[in-house]
Amino acid sequence: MKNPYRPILTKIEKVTVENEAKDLKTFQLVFCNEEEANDFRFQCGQFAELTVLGVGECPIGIASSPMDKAFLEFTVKRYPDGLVTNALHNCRLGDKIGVRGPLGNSFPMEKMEGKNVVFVGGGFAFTTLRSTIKYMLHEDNRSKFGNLTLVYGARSPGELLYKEQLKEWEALNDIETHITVDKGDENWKGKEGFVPAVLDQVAPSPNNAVVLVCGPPIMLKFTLPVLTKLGFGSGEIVTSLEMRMKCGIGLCGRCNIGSKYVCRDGPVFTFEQLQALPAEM
Amino acid sequence: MAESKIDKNKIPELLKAVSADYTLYGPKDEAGIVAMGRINSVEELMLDYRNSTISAKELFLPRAEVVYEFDGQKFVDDKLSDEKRVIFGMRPCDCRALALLDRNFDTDQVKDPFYITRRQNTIVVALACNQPASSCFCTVTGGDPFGQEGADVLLGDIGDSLLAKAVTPKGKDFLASYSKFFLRQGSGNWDKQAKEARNKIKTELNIENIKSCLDDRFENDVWKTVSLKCLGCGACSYLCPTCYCFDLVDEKTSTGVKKVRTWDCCMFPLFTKHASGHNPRDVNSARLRQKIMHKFSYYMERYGVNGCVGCGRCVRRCPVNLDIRGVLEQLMAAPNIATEK
Repeated sequence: MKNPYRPILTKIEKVTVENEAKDLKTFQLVFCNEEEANDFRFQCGQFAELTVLGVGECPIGIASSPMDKAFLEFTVKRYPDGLVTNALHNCRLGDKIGVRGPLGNSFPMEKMEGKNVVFVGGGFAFTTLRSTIKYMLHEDNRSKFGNLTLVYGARSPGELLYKEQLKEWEALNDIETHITVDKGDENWKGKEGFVPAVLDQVAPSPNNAVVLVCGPPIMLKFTLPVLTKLGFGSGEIVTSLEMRMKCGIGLCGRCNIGSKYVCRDGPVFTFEQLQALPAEM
Repeated sequence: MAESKIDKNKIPELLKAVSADYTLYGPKDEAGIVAMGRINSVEELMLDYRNSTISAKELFLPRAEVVYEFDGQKFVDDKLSDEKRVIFGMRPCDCRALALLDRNFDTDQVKDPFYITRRQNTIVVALACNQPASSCFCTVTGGDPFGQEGADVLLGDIGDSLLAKAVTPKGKDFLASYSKFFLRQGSGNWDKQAKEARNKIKTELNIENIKSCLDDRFENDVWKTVSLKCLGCGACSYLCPTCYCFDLVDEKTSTGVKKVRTWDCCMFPLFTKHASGHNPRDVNSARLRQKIMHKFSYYMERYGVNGCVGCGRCVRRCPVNLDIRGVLEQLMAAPNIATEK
């Protein structure tokens, strides 16, 4: 019997400070063992438990694409009270990090084949959306999906994640990108405005389309009515949830909303599924 | 299955023989309370007890156990228990609790090797309950004082002797191995005994529709009312034979680290608190709701049975006399009006 609590070992290969506040870092991890690297197959939207040995674990969405076989990437926000996120942020290149996963369900990749996909992201909840966009834009996969539209926003230009990548996507003809900030600065030449408002202007068609929405609760609250107005059905609106977790495999009893465990039955849910759950988030 | 009986005078001999082949566990006095502990000499085993203060849960899910160890260079091989055990004299409610825990720890999707190994290495010899306490309500939740679910062998006290029947193939082998202590018998008078015991359970509560009733009342002020006197101490969870929620904690060793699984409890505020400070169950009433809903709604939804065996420990040991039977009654009696948020 496999021990579901034991992580595999990885090494920090690269660390990117993502934002001006310096509390968001992307860790590129490489596997220490080739066999374990080959066994680690994941789908967009899944997460893993990251272990700082001797400190603890925390669940983080996988931000790299399944097409990136050589490494995994995780973007981690440091919270003042977050034991593990602080320890992670204090790690150095070459440090060993435990990874347990992939865990949870994924975005509905098969269902999205042949369809247009709209991505709506806010702040640092953009990680698994980035994984999905990278995956869909990959030359081996691009033909499986229709038009791709991205609306992504952050509080300020300095808080946008993956800035280089966003520039690359903007330069492509393959994905329509709308990057916005709540408030720009003197160098900002892009859009200003909240994500729901920009989404309303962009007004993507609901025909043959699925929308993936990941952002802070306040963004979700104002985005859902816009999507409904645009004509998206609640079964075509897909989001990903966060909860405090320990085991990540549906055993330890803490991340449930009603009878559903966010770790095992989620983290990806359609808006339709969420409507059937009690309001306890 | 074949039935037999054993004279009570023969029990010490039987237990000695069993101890030679297995590590023996059973009800014993531990500093004034009855616990399911290791029996070092057969005189320690108590068979005239009502129910153990502490359930047998910890024999399968210890309060703390190492789930992996990293010595600084590599992971150490898992230490799975190889102890072959017999638990003698467990009450049917606690046996049934094991059958419920199996549904969580031994599933098609996930298997917990630590729990499963202990289950496989253990023979459970249950002792039917002739004297249910006033706080017992196993019949309300689907159990029975003479129930055999989760047990390998069921014993029934008929005065001078104990009736015995095998419940599982493992139990049949067990009885066969020690057949010299037992007398064969056509068919014991189980039914009469069982009926008498059942009639001694005085709790009158019908929870047939509890799931839909609770689901309808998720947003309801009645939760505030029923949780008013709850201290959130978690004594109920720790004593409950079916509460299994756990924490995973890192501990440093001289050269590396180990991961320890410890009991945890949904009544504690930190149980669900995010690193960001957000807490989806930030008030006591939401936590008590989780505890009740988990047992009587969510468990039912996932596994088709409710997650309470009616052992009554939470009723007997709550420091403020919060009686779960009364709570369920109050919930079911509450008007089905959702509270405006």
